[in-house]
Amino acid sequence: MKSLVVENLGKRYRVGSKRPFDLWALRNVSFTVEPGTILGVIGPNGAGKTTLLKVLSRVTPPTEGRVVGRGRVVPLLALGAGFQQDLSGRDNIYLNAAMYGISAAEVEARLDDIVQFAGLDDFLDSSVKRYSSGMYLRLAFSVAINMRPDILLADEVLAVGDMEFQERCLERVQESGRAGMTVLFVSHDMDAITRLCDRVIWINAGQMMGIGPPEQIVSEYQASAWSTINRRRQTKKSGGHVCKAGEIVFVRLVSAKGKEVGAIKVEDPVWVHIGFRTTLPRLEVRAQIDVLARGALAFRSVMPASVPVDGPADGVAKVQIPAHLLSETTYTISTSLAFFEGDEAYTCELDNATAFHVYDSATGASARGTYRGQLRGAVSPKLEWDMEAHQPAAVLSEPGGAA
Amino acid sequence: MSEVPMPKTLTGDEWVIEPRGEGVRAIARDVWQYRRLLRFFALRSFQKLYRRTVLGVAWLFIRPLFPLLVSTLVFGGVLGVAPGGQVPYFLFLAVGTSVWEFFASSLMWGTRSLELNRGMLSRIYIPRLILPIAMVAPALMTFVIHLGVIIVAFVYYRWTRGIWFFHPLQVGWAVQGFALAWLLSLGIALWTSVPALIARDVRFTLNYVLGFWLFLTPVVYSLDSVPAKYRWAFTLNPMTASVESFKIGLINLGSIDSRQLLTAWGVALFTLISGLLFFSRAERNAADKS
Repeated sequence: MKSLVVENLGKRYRVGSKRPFDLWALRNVSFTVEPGTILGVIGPNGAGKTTLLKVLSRVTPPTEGRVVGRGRVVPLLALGAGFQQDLSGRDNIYLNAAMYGISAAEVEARLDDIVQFAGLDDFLDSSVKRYSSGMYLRLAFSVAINMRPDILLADEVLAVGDMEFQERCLERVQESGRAGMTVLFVSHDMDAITRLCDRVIWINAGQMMGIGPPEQIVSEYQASAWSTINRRRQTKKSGGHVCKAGEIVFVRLVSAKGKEVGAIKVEDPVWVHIGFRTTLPRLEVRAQIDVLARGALAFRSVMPASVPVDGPADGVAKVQIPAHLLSETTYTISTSLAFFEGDEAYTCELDNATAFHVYDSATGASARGTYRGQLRGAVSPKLEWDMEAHQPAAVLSEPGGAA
Repeated sequence: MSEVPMPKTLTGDEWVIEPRGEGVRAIARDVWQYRRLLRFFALRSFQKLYRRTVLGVAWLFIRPLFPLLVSTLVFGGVLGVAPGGQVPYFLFLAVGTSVWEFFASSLMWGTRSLELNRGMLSRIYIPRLILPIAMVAPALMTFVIHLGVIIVAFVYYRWTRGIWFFHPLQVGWAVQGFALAWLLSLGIALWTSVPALIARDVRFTLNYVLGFWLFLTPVVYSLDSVPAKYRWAFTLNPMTASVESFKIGLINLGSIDSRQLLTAWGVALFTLISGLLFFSRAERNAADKS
């Protein structure tokens, strides 16, 4: 018996007021979930993940297709959406349960479990507006999981909160999963997705791109998601990339195999290709890239010398970013080309020309080795480490040490 | 995508989500399951009456009483409207106003019920029908205060004039008039609450409509004072039947015939049933409109 059967689900929104057009937030989405499965839902922002959960939790009706499910559905969508600031924790537990359509008697029976998991004993009767955001979160999660849902819908919520609580939540989710609870877990945290989920579906622009084992789908998604962004950026019209002497035609990220990529592993080198066109004869061309991590400049690299180009011509400037240099984050690349014609200089620039994601496949070969924590900084170069240690006996034999 | 075998019939705890609504019966079942929310939304709307005010709960009394006193001065004093019999104008006005105000504010709160809970609608599923039903609470509260005023007035006039205006044997009429006002306001609110999510015009228009409607309903004047050739127009107004019934029930003053009463109930029930059907279709997209 399936826990959830989704067939050809589609959700259409009518957007825009002046010239309205149809936007399919979901289209032809079909999948089935066995009881006890933790199903990860991944995809870029606006892909339709939240719409999917909203349809499943009956907040909004589908436009086509249908869903058949078994048992109690508890949405953990906007965490604490049902909470009332001026009510006490206790009242909010009952209220929250009422919003899931659950009787007071059932809450009564589980009250101890709820309070215990949330760790709220002393605060149960004070109003939730006095709660810290962590307590708020714990209470919301505790109510939801203790309602013993057959299907839990979690939208990014498990990824908030402190590490210790996250761990406890994930543990509890896994435990309930073994007991037969089905979970739909939407997250951008690929680490949590691969760790937690049994299967993953990948949605993009409302369409299902794939469903399968987490490692496979996540890496497919990561490779594709970032090159999609690159294409989008390059179609953007802006005048800066054209100047009197030439223009930047494209900026691509290319792997060692010569394939265009959007995401790379920290232990692989990557090449940035800057395609350009010149319009004037006898130019000297020099290229430059700025690599930005989270909007801040990580480093700039400039061609050591300019190269003569006899135009009009098409060309590509290539620069290799070595392996074991970048850290696990999202980088954007801005490029500029300088054209020299005698004493005259022209430049064209393409800001945010491309973006890519760097990830660690955790094989132990990267700069982090077996370290599991977070590496900070705009770059994480692989450096040589060494350590020496001596026997404390050496201290005793020092001259004068015994006197 | 591969074809997924779909179960033909649902068993036990299975449920299905489809583009089409599940109909009024499923909604009724849902409302019953979520009935505890009625109390919550009732309390919440009730708090909106006086939250963030300096005078606080005092507003509950000021808001209904102040217009009543002003109207008594203007209509009863300056314009000299006489209700007929020995009934003092204040008492006459208080009785008519109590049921009319209940109708008007129940309709306004019902119309705004979805809009005021907009944020919740787009985040969590609740049977939306709960909202227009529960949000009658503030109107009920005002009604109870009006009733209190009427009781005090009964006692006061018994004491000063020696006349006991209340007719306990006819109180059934008052209950009937009140029920009529309630069902009619809920019926209209079922039509207006979903459109009010999209356009505030609904609420603004309704304000004007209620302003006119009050003058077409014998609240500040008695139906007897209306010239006979205009009476027919009043019989079409279901609120005439409601207010007259209420007055008969409390102060034995008013006139109504069975045809008028049946018409009024017919209109109210038709509005309510058609409203339920409309609401059950329209509410499904409520989350997308907020």
